[in-house]
Amino acid sequence: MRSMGIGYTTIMYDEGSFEEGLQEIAACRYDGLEMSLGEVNAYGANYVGEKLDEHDLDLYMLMGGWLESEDEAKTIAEGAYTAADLGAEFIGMLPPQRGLVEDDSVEKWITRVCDAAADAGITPVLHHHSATHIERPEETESWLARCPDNLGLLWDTAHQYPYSEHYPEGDVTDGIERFADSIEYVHLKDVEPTPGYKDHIEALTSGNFNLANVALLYYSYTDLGEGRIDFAGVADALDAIGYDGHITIEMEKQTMDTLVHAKQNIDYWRRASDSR
Amino acid sequence: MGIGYATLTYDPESIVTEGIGDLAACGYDGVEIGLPKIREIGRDRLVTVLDEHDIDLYCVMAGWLNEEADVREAVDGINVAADLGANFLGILPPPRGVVDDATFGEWLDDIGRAAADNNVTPVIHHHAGAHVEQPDEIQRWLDDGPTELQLLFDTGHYYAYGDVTDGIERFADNIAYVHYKDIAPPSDFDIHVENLSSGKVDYDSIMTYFGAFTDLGNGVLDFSRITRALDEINYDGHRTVEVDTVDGPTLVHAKRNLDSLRDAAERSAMSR
Repeated sequence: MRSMGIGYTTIMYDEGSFEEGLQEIAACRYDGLEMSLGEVNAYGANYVGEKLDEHDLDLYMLMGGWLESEDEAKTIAEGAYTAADLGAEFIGMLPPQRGLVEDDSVEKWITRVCDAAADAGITPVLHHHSATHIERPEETESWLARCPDNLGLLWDTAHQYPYSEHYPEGDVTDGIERFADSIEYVHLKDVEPTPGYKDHIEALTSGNFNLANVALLYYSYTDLGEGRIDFAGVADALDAIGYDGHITIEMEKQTMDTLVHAKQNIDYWRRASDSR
Repeated sequence: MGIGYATLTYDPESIVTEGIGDLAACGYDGVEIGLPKIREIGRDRLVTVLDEHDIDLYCVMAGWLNEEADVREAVDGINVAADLGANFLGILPPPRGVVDDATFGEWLDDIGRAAADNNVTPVIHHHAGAHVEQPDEIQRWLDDGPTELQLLFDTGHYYAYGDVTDGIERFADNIAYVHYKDIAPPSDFDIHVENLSSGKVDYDSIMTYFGAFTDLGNGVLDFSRITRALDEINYDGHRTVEVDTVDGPTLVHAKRNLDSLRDAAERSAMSR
């Protein structure tokens, strides 16, 4: 029986502020968190485990790096065992930058991680992501079908947004309905489109990775409630498909005190999900 | 000894639905709540939430003593505090000039008698613009008040009338409970202090004085020195952070103030 929890990513914290970050996340009464595999490898898995226990926080997922090489696939596959040791349910994969590697290599590397995850007893999840090899809904669908059966989807509100049928409105629930059978884990992130947002997305899709395109995509991500996405609608749609997994708020861009970000985002999600 | 937080910036409903849980999650041990808010929340509901989050009630702060009815309410507040396991009933003196000394003395005696029958210590909160404000006034009422009366020493309210650590030394024998509160005085602060001390009810002065209170670390007080001074008098009671105003989420103030208090304690320990 799964138990839904609310998590927060540690993206805004570094090694020096990691423990402060856990204190902040716990103070805001998140249930769990998501870390990158790189962070855990740098800080030491034992140290991370001790601190998680100390602050009574669950680790939901370790996010592997960009799947752009054989070495990275090997690192993520090994990370599946680290994730399992730390009690995480998921090992995440970020697709390679668009146009960088052949499909066969991507499939081979995802399969390698899936096999390791199966052996470690956890679930591998694919993070559909703008400007990468797997970004649009039809690509997500195709890759889920092509890869091993144990591969699940990390579904992300902000990365769904530009490809939703209701764009530029903030209703992204068609993504939830479409991937109802594959969503294992959810990221909440808002989007306030920057000027020329769609043009930048399309440029990235076509392989034009100039800095403006990347930066303006990144700048569009914002705290829940500051952008376009209808999170009450997201909550409704997740309920409708019977989703009972964890929901993690992913904040990438610090514009104020880190604690304010953590607190305001969980408050917003609670209001949105409780107001229905 | 525990670290507490005063719930001034929470309304009664949010104390139980949010505040106590937030404070526990931040790592506070206890809480101080105003008597009117406790009445609004209801005894059983408050006990349930305090128990749920393993938070102690340190102090019940009675309302301002303006008239006889307020005294009766404070006397009953002793029973409320005892019932809830709080060690202290805080007493806010009347604004300067509202009552004469004889009347105020009788009021304190009434509260003292009620406290003697319970295991609750009444603590006088010296306060800007109030009947008990300056060091000599604090001394006078500790000397002339009932034997049960002890001092709630407040760093922010002492600042205008002398070095805070001198105050801690002077009242070492009577400090039963402490408020940690910082202050960032504006350039014309002294004028407003004089207005309030002379009994002049000047709204600019009231607003300026109270507007100067701020989060620990944002004002002029050195809390590592204050912590060291409390340690040197062997104070082993609770230390409660009192913040009057907030900008943004209340939790953020609670967390950042606790961070500052802990940082001050660490710096104090390192300087010894």
